[in-house]
Amino acid sequence: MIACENCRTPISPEQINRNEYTPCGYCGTLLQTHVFPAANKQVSDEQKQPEIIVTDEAGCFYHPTKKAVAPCSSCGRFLCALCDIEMDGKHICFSCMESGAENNELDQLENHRFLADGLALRISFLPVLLPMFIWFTCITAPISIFYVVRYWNRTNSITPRSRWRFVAAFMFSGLQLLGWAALILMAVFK
Amino acid sequence: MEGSNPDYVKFPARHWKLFGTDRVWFAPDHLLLVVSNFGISEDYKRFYFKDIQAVNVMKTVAAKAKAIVGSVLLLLWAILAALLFSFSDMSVGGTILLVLIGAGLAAYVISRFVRGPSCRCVVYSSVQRQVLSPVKSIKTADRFLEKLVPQIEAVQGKPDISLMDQGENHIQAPEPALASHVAEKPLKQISDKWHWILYLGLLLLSALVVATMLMRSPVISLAETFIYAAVFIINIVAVVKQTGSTLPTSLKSAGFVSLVLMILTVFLGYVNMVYFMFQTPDEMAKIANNTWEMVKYFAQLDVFEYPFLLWVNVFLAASCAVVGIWGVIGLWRKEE
Repeated sequence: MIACENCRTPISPEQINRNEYTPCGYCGTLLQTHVFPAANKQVSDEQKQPEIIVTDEAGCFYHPTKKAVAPCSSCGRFLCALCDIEMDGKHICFSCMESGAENNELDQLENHRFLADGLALRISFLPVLLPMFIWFTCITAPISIFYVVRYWNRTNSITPRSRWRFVAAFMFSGLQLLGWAALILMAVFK
Repeated sequence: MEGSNPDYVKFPARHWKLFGTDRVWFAPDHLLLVVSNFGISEDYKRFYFKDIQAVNVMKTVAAKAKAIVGSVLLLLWAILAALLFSFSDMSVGGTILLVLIGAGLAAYVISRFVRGPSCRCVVYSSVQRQVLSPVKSIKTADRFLEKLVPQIEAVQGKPDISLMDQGENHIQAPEPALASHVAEKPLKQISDKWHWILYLGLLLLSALVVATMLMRSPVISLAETFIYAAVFIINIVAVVKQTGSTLPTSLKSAGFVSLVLMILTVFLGYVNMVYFMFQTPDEMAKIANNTWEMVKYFAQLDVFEYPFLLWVNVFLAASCAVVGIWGVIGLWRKEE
């Protein structure tokens, strides 16, 4: 059952789906709780105990004695109710889901991304923020520009994201390199 | 896989972290929590509307505590600024720095009041319980629920009110479901005697600081030192005991704030000592090895002649009084 986030006292049914904050019966913390029909959803009998083949019906590839309910959208193997995974309207099997996750082919299973623009921006700005590390800019500026050029055409986040970080990193690193070039020229011509 | 999903709609709330922010996005069929790792990578958690079992929003005292701490700091800054302008000739640079700090503190306090009360928003599905860190104020939570609830109801349908009217727990869900989240972490019942001693000790300490300032008595100063040490130890015990307990959040917050205050005043004490070592090196050298002499020396100082010492004392007295009153009222309300 759902409970108060502070004291773990179960929330009474009168407090649920009320669109207002009501105090917890034990600790008085104000709560607003919305519960949806998914909380009542029972595991279907079919999923608990897939139907056993009686006649010459198709059987599950993984459980030959169980009745098949759908073919896998990826490999075409027949699946019983237990093996059938519904994802984005498609039916897939465990092994296709696993290989899809390993090969980064299933968008729905992607849970991590590297952000090259974020790294380029931080590499470019951090040494300048700490004056004692300002000399590192002769190394970090080219690395930052490398990341901008290398990953410019690649999408970073799965959410919409503009390229302003790439532009800022490129411009700031470019300025740092120009500064270094000016310093070297001054030293040479002196 | 490499592309971004243009269907994601940003929800206007974020949780600021060091070099990154967490955000919530809405897709046509799910909610996406994006957790930033220093801004150089992101972790994603998806909550499909068909799977969300419940959303729980709890009002917290974090915003109130921050507003109180900010207001006290602003008040102390104002006292310090008034003292510095009265007793010493401020340089232009010093004046600008003082004004900038004051403006920053004032902006922080105003923003705290504008944002309103804080909250914690938790989403439950059959396999996980997730705190949505970007949804942290009541105003944001109201906007969030306004957007989320209709989308879930469009997929799952309206909740069956008749099940609730039966008086039975209509959210009794099959395994693994809501029950498992609750069973994960049982909270312990604790006696609140340590907290009573702590908050009364803070009030006593506040009174002793004021008495030392006004009466300049070494005995009171020594008593203040002992009470300070005792309160510090009790505070540590109280914070350890309150962890994972059923104590109200406001009291837990007061315990943490007073511990931070204790640590901060130890640091200020050292700064004060260093200041006097530079100001009066000969006298400090004479008394450095004799604690009683040191207590007597500091007790007999006229704090009104030393703005920093005055500021430290006012800060300690005011903040101990504020946290002490906060704690006592909290305990009183809990008893009721």
